[in-house]
Amino acid sequence: MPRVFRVMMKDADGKPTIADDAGLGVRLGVDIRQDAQGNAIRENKGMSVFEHWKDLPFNRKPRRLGGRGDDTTFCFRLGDGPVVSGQLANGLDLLIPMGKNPKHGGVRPQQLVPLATFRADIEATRNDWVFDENP
Amino acid sequence: MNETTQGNLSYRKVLDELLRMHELSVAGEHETDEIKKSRDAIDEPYSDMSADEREAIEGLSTDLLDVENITSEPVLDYIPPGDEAMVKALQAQRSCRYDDALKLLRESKSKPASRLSFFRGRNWIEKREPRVALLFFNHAANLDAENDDYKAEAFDALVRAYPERGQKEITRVLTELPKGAPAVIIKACDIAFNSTLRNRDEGNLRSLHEVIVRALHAALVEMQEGPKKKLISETQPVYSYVYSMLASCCRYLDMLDPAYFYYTFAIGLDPLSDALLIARGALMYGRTQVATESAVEDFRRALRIGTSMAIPFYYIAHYLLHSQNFETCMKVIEDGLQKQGSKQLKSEMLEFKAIAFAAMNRPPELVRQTFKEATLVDQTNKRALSNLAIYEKGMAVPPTRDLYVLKIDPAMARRELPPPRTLREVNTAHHPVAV
Repeated sequence: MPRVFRVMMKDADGKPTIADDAGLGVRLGVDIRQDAQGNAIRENKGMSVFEHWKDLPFNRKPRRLGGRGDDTTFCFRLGDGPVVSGQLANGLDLLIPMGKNPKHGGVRPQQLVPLATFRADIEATRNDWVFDENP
Repeated sequence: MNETTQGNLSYRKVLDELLRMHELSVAGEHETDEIKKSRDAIDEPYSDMSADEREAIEGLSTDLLDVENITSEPVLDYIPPGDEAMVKALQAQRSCRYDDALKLLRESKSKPASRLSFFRGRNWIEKREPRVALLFFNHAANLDAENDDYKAEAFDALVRAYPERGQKEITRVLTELPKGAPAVIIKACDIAFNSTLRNRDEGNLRSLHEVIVRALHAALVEMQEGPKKKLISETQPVYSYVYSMLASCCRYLDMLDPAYFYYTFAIGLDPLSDALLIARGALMYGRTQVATESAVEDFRRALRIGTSMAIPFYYIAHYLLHSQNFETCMKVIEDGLQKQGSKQLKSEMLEFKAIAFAAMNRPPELVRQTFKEATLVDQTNKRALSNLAIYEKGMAVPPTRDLYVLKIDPAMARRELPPPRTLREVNTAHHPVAV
């Protein structure tokens, strides 16, 4: 599984909060679009992830780490493999780069699936994310 | 690394939002809806920025955190020289590699923080981002309240970033005299004086020149007699700039003696300034025989310095024509025509040439052709036509100054004169800030 980082709110159990905004989830219309049948469209969009938390843009990197992001969010790591486009987890693909930043990737559905399924696939990775703000 | 510019819309949007976030942060707002809105607004344009733009913006965000977090600094008895990174940063800035310079400043461990902020501001002003420069200059001025140069730079950046607010500030500074730091007063005068170069309203111009003269006098008194004395030897080229600006204003106000005095003082401090020599020469030329001789010497010195302007050649040619030294006059005109000057000026030099030809009994066709050339270069030069008519009328009579109208139009001459360099140009040329 490719090693990626994402900044998210943290639940009491130390795992990321399931939430569309600042959590483990996607913002409809921003991170993912839906077709008329309610399917998540597979395109060059997805849930943002980065090669390392140091690669986070200033607006998302928490202030305690030198950015201007919300200090109630934390950096989580998923996987330990090389960061290349391809399968990330069950039903999920990693697209990297997403946009012009080579260290910015997106998690998108592997195929056309209902939005709810895509969200469930993302949520299913919750326990695999570990808090990691090591330099 | 490619220099980042305002050209890319995404970069612009991210920069605007970053500045907004900084503003909110300074106001103590960290987790408000507005901050969240700014964060969200950045995501999309950020992903469209180039690597260089991302690096520049990330660096700026970090530098602005210094502005937010460093709110005071110890007063140092001795300011140590800058470290290697700072020296390299200044070299990069002088080579117009501003992003590199800012990166190097980030690596510098030099103290105090006010100096770092000042240099950051300098780079951002050169990058034509006065809004950003203002934040750093203000930071420097707040940390080191004793340093008037920081205040002056902040003032300059304010005027550039927010012209309306800036104009109000200029008015305030110039009306609250003698209060105010001399560096700020001089900067206000510098900006006001440069506005006079574009202004055509004679009534306003006169009163503005009077205000500038009063303000510069106040600044000079403070610099020479105030608690924070500014020695000429330590403050140059500011003094020569102040004197040249005073001289220009006095010249405009027809205050001949003060203008002459200030030009002479400025030339004493900056003897290789062709602009000052030319300006003093133009002030004196034609007033008396002695004054004209001294003016011509000024013009000749400007030529020896290697001036690129045509106006001293024009005056010397005019003088030689009157002195009936036609051969030399022709040579001066030939050289002058290669220099920078308006069409009107060059047309009149060709007219002088035609008159010299006539005086030297050159073939009438050559004289006519040269007069016509003069009118072709500047069709508004009616004097050349009337002088041609005079020539045609009395071809057999040797020309003298009584025959030809050769009065110099003072308005034209004034337009040709170089204005004093702006304070920024003066400072850039001399790099006065020691590391």
